[in-house]
Amino acid sequence: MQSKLSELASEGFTVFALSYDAIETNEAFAEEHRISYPVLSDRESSYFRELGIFNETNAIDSRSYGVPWPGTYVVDSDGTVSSKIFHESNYVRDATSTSLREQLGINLSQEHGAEWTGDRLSVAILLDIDTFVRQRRIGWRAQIAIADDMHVYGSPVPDGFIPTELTVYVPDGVRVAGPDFPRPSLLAVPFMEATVPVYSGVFEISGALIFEDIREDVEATFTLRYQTCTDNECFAPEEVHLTVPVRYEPFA
Amino acid sequence: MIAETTHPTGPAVGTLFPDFTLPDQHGQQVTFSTARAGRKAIVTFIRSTDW
Repeated sequence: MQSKLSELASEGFTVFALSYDAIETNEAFAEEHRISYPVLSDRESSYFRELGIFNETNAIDSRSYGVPWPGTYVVDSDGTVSSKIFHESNYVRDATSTSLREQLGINLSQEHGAEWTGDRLSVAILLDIDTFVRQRRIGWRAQIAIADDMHVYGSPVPDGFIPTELTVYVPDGVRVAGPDFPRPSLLAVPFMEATVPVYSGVFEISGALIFEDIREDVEATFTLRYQTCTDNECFAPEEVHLTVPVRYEPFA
Repeated sequence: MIAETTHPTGPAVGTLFPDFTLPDQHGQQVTFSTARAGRKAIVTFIRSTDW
C-alpha cells in the first residue's frame, strides 16, 4: 500500500495497519518496505478481540495464535464504517489496489501493462499492480476502443461470425480468472431475423491473475481475437498479442 | 462488500468504528481518532509482518 499512499492521501484517506507482532518486528518490516503510515502492534490481541475479528481457530501453542482475520475497513470522515473487505480464503490475498478498485470503486492509478493500436481497434492491458508476492490476486482489465461506426462481436454468435475472445497465457504456478465480458448490445442483422451481440465504442474485459506457487518474474500474454465490422462489411479477423511483465518481490 | 466468510468480520457497515490507542513501529502511542483527525481512513489488519 505504501506505493499508493500519496494517491490515497490525495483522495483524503489516512492509512493504518495493525498486526499482532511486537513493535520491533513492525519496525523492521516498516523499514524494509519504507512504510511511512503507522503499523500498529496489538500484541495482546485485545483490540482484535474487541472488534470481534480475533482468529479463534488457531491452537494456543501455534505460531499463528493471536492473529486477526485479515481484512480492511474503510472508515468515513464521521468515524463510521463505510465498507469492509474480508476474504473468503485466508490464503489468497487480493492486492490492496485490486480490493479498493473492485469492491469500493476507488481507482488509484493502474500500472499500464501493454498497449496496441491498430486501424480500427486499440487495446490497453492494465494491471492493478505490477509486482506480486505468492498467493496474491491481481486484477487486470483490457480496455478496448473500437473505431466509430464499427463493432466487434460478443458471444454466442451464429456460424460465420467471429466472436471476440481474450485468452491469457501464464506460466505454471499462476492461475487466470476471467475473462469477464460486459453485457453486449444487440444488433439487428438485416438478412437474418435475429440480433447478434456486439460491442462498440469503449468497453472493458476484466479478470485477475492469481500467483500461487511461483517465485520468479512472470510474463502474462494476452491474446485478443476479434473481427471489426461496419453495418455493411467486415474486415478480416485479427489477433493481437500483448505481453505484460509482473515482477516477483520476495520481500514485499 | 464482503466475500462470503465463515468467520466474523467485526463492526458492521454504518456503525462507529471503535477507537484504539496502540504503539506504532516507532514505539509511539497512536490514537486512531486523533491521528485520523476527521479524515477518511483505511484500516487494514494483517496476519503478520513477520511471516
